[in-house]
Amino acid sequence: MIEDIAIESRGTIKLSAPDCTSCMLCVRECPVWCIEIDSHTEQVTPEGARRPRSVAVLDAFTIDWGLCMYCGICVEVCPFDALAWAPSPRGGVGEAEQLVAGIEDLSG
Amino acid sequence: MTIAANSVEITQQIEWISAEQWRDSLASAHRQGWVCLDVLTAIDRPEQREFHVVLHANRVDSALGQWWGVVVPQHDAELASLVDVFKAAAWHERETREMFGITFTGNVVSHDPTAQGLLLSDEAPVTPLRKHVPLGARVDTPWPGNADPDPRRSASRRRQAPPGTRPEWFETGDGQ
Amino acid sequence: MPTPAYQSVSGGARQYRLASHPEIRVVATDLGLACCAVEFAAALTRGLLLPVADADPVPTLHLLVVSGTLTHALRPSIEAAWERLPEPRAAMAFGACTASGGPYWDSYSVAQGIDETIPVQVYVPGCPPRPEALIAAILSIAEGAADVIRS
Repeated sequence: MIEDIAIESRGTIKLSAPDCTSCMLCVRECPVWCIEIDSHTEQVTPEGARRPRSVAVLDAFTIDWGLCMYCGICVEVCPFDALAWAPSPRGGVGEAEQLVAGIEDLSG
Repeated sequence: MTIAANSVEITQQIEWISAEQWRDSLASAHRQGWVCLDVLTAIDRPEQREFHVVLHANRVDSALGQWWGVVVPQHDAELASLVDVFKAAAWHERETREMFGITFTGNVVSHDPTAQGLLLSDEAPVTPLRKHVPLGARVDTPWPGNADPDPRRSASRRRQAPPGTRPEWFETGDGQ
Repeated sequence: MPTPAYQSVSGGARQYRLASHPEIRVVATDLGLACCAVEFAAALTRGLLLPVADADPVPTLHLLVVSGTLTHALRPSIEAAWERLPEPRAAMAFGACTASGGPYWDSYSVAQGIDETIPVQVYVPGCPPRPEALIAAILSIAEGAADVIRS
């Protein structure tokens, strides 16, 4: 419905979940505390490695769009570029709970 | 005007006046054309145990504005009122008293303890713009940043204060 | 006595049609409390929402758009504006402040959203939302995607 939006517009924020290492920087720097991450660590042994190493596994990543003030600090601070602006804005929802978006919603 | 949140340096030009000279200096400025009071408020500097009371006034013959400031000690937070120089000071001084607890000698309402709150409801915290007064919602809400799953990371670095909070708000036994 | 807050930046309740869907007639009141009101106004100035000269006596919807930060002091006025709204009616929380208090959620003087004060049929995220988001949200209520209150 929305045409001719500038590509750099702050419509919404998208997550690239494979790039997220659960470093928590976005969570800690968000001024309104609207991001939550849940993760755990797993031991994996890459082929040929002598010992296993610990990797973070992202279980949940949510942004509460009712709180987000579109400052972009999370996008700027992510060391792995897992967060990025997308121009088309999110639509309205009928229930306040629907404002909290999870990994699937943010990746879409 | 740039006031860095945690730095104590105020970077724009402010004409600093002593408390004793405050009323006379601003009266003189008013006579010289700084006639339009824009804002009169305070900045809480708890580490220095002082307030900066700051005033911004504009001229009407040009687009110029100017800041004046005065240091007021917190143990004796009283300053001369400017109501006879700027009529609008009556409102601003009353607001400053409500938000910071600074009284203004000569502003009758500012001194009247029975005067109703100008802006604050009965449920609002006393002197809410003082930095030791916590933002209740921030204290009561669990910070998502505490849920760091990596035990090495959270143990090895100094615990980060959540954005928008001051460490003293979380000290046990200290409700203020 | 609080000043009635329903005298909005757009001049009070007025019937509009959507430029994209002219058959939809909405009597909208914008309670322009803060910055989000500018985006409502932009929907008007850009012609996305058009005042109608010939008001339909049976509009699709009476809509209360709350745009801006709600302080505790203003809650009675918001309640009064909702009470006066004829049915079929709906309220829109336009922008983060109306959903949660937004950037000011931590303030002693700010209500954390409007839905503790009035029922809300649609929440539009944004800080501020674009005017197009306003139109899309009006469409979703008018077309029944969100619940409109009818007796």
